[in-house]
Amino acid sequence: MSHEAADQSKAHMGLPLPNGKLALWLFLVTEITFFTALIGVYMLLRNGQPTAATPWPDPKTVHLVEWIGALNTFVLICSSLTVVLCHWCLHEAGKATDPAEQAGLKSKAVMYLGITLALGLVFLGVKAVEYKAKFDHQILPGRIFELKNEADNYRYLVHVRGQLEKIVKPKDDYEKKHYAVKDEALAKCKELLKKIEDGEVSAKRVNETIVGTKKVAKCDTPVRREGESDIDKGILDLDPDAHLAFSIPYGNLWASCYFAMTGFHAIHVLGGLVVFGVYLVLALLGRFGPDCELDIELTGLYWHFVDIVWIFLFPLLYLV
Amino acid sequence: MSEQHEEHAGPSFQAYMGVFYALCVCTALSFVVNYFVDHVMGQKLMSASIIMAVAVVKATLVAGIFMHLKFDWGKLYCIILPVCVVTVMMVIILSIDATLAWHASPESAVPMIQQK
Repeated sequence: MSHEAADQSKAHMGLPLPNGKLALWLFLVTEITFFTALIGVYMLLRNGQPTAATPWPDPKTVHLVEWIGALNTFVLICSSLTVVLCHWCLHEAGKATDPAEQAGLKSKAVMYLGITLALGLVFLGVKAVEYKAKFDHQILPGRIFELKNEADNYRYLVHVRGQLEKIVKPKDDYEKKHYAVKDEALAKCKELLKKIEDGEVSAKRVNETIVGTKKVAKCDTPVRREGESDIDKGILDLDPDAHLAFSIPYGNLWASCYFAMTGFHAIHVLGGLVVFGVYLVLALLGRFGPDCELDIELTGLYWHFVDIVWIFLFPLLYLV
Repeated sequence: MSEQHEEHAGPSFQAYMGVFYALCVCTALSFVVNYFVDHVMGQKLMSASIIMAVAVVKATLVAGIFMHLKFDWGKLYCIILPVCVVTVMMVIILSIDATLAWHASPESAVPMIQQK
């Protein structure tokens, strides 16, 4: 290689991109590996140990509603659209020569920015409702009964006994309101509480009484004792809102994965909303215009990445 | 505030709207496939494959048009490609023990047990 050629290559070092854009893409590629690791571990846990007899929890068992996940996907897609439209308006405003046209495009950009922020808040609101349902039903890491050993069985019996006492013999108005069940379910609850108090029933049979024999995981099906029959309708079939714990094999692993993946994603959404909020404040101060085009493009890149992560999390958690 | 402005051919307004509609259709498609292929027909593996393929299409649309990679790919591929290779490798490596497990193919494990 001649000296002349070497000099020429030096003159072309670096990527022909704004420094901010290059830095953001470098940040995004580290984020790709971060979320791939999380999703990879989820796949490892999900596909590694569960079997046909002891399957990974399906979305319904862990109180995940498909349409709520789809709604959040739609909300994020809409927010991705509004952020690119905000960028597009700023770009067009920069090219516009007519001041009235430029002002119109600038106010449109601010409007799209506001809608993006609102949609992000809707996403987090829906996520908060989902998280509340998990807390209400105690679908939390380390709090789910899996009936794997005697100690777990004993804890389960004590826990369900406490819940049944609140249903059958509520102590105050809160318990009366919060633990109320339908009449048909109440009769079964009374019967089950008596059996537990008399020490007549095993943890697995209690689980069957709550869920129904056909719905329990195969691993939880005990050898029938004499006189024990199949239970077509469990208490939860009679009243799906009854606050009664039931066994979810691999439920704790599922909850750990769910909260880790959706939690980190929600934190990313929150980060994006803070930045959008700052730009809205700048807009209120009259300091938001075509000069901010690159900044909005970079924030948009981050926001779209957050959208892409959800595009994979939604099917993995809610559908597949 | 801005570092520098480069004149580049970005996507048009129509392109953005087109991608938005395509993303909505793809989301609805995932939902429908999950219902009919998984819940009604009981083909869990086929349903999962279609749904994940649709997710890849959606991600490609967002990255290509919304993130302007269609236009910036020539400048950024040297950063993005190595990471993509690493992520695909990671998923493959993390899938190995699941596919090697006996329960992944129980029918092949039965003769081994019978031989004993």
